[in-house]
Amino acid sequence: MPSSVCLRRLSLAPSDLTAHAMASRSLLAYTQTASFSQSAPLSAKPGQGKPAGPARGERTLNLGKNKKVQRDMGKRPAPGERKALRKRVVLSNTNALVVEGLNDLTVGNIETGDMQGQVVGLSEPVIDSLRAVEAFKATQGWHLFRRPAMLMRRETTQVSALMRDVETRKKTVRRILAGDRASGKSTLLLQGLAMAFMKKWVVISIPDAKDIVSAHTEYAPLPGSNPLQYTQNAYTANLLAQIAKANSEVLSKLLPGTDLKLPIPTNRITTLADLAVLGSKNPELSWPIFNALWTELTQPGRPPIMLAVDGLAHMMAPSAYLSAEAKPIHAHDLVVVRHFVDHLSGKSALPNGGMVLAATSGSNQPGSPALKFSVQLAEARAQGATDLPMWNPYQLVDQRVMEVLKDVDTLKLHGLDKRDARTIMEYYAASGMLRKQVDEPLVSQWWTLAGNGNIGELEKGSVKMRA
Amino acid sequence: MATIARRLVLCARRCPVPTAPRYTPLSAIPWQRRLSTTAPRRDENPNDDARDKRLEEFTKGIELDADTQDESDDQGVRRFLDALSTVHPDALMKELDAIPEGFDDDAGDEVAGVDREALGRLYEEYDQEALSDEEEYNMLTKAPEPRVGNDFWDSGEDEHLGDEDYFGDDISALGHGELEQHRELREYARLAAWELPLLSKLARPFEVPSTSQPLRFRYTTYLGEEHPAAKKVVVEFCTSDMPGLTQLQRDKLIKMAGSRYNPSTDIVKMSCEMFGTQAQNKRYLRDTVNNLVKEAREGKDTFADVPFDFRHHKPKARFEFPKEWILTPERKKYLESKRLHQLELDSGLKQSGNLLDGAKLVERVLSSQVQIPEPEMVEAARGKQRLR
Repeated sequence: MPSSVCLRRLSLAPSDLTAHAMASRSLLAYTQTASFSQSAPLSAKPGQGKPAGPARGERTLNLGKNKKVQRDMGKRPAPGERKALRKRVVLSNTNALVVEGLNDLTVGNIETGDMQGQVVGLSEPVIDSLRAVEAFKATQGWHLFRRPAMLMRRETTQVSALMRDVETRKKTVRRILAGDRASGKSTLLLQGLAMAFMKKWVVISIPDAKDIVSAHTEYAPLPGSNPLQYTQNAYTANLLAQIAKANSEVLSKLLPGTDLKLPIPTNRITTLADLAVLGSKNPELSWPIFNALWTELTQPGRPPIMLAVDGLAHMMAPSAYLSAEAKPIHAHDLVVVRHFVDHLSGKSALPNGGMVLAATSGSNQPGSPALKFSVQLAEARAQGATDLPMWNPYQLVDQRVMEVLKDVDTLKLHGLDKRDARTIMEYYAASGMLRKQVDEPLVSQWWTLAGNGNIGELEKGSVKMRA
Repeated sequence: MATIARRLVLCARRCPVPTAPRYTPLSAIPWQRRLSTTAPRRDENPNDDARDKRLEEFTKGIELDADTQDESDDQGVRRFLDALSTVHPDALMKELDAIPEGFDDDAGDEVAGVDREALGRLYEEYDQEALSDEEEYNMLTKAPEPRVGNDFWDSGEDEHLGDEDYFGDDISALGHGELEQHRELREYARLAAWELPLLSKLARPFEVPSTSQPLRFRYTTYLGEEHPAAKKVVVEFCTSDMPGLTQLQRDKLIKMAGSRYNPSTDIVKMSCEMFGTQAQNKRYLRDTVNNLVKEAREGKDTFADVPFDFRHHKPKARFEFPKEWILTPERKKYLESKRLHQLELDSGLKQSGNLLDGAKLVERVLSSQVQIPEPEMVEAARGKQRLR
């Protein structure tokens, strides 16, 4: 970096230089040469730089050969428009046929388990609630059929059995949904949420863990926390809004029973739904309000809670946020994530019972060796293996993640069996999306091509890739 | 005095020779086996011309070999004198008298009627630039001096290629080498034929090493040849074969062996070639193994807190065909019956009209729908503001 003194000297007149008693030899040598300019230097005004090109729509002089070059004067999409299009979830296809004899899922047939191996529809209120918690994904094939329907597979029955267990014994069930890519993990999570909505549980769902950790929302250190934790007010406010909307039927019947101890007047709060709405409207207070809501929900006599997250691997790694020392903040230091992770690990129990479901993602998954290993370990444990896999002690590991996932069980999704595959393919055909005779050779063929009945591949092969 | 043919040879010899020959020949004629040195027997008839001619040819042959002539002169004279002593002096005198008066070289020429003067002129012409006999002899016998200098003729030549021990009286060193090799091969062939069968007498049956011999040494021989790896010794031992080790001590031994341990086979393998002889290397290995075992047994630190480090070892993945996939006759039968059952079910469904066919379903639904007439397209009004 050149010394500012030197640069200043250049602007001095030679007569001024000679006046300096301390002028060095080099500066004296400079006085013998002619200075190139004696005018005082003027820095350019800020914002006066030459623009890279004419503003859009501005007419400019064009002397080049191609005088008829037409600029695209069309309207650009508004901010967020393209993202909205990308994230748009279409749940109906009016061109698809109405499937005759498609029954809805109800509390009654969940309990009896009659619907296993059948395709069931979802009722409108449940669909609204699921939409509110963003349980439907744009990548799933909902837009192909007349109305949302799903196959009650074997794993769904397992989840419903666990839910029944929760209700009877008030226990906390923690599961990681694991399986191959497109094996139906997110859909199983959706089925769990749907059943929870129907059973009047309180559902708190993080639709995609990537949104919390990707540093796209504001964050701030939580005062008085040690070790330092960070709140995400905008995200928490949005989460409260989702909770309020999705669980309005349940929360509007629950009255606050304790002193909420909030820094704003709570006179007008009559139900817990009001509390959640209040939090969604005051982002700066969203975290204390979330805590207050959680305290209320864990009081005795409240309904069970369903905690759900999709894309668990994002939570099990350092986040994209930076601390004041410009070091990455671990995802577990974000309060919302920490709240979820504490319940997943079993550190905090749900006093009224409940379920913590965390689905991994096969397609959008940052590398998380500790999570991968923990899932392997849990699977081996579930199979009753004697020699459990051991972490290579000479490899670095995210110890916090290992600690959290130490004793979490997994719910492994396998491919469909051929009977289930035939059921879902008959549903495709009845919807008019599979114009073929559904018989055993066809089912066998697609079942094999779909990697032993991977349901995502089955749908892709028989419906989406249809010529 | 040089003849015409000899002068041609001399001219050729005067050309510069770029390099020195491998050996310096002592004569112009290559070495050859000596002819018989027995004295020639004279014919009884002294006037026989044929005999004289033969004698002349013989002596000419002798003359060509300067060395042999010099050496055999003394012996020849002695034999001649011996022969003379056996002859009676009177007979000898008779013989001498029988020689005609003018018998000499010049007289012979006169008899032949050769013009001696013309012959003398011819000789004189050649003698003008002729060399003396001594010079000519030297030129023929001695090799021309190798060129010493750095001019055009010497470019790209190596000057010191001569074999100092070779004097032109023997086959070359390369030839001797070939012969030596041949002799060696024949020697080994003799050994193979006569000695090797006797080795079977020394053969001993293999004995499985006992538990007191857990170390297995490996030596390498290169069959008498010198080789840098001939001194190398390798030792292998199984850690569970080492006597008197508890599990903890064995684990410590494995940890101390480090990357020399193979977890798949439970074998430690170590080698030594840092000493000059095999025996020294073996002794070093033995001492090292003893120290390792001693340390494993008696050392204070058990290394229990150090995890095993097998990063050096990559176990080979072996894939075996699953037993469940083997198509046994029973399984074939089962699959066959299962498929048949499914086909029967499908045909039953088809007969009852319950087999779902997507294409037919769509057709049926479309045909049952009320046909909505196609909307008629009307051209839009032309104007300034056209639709883009």
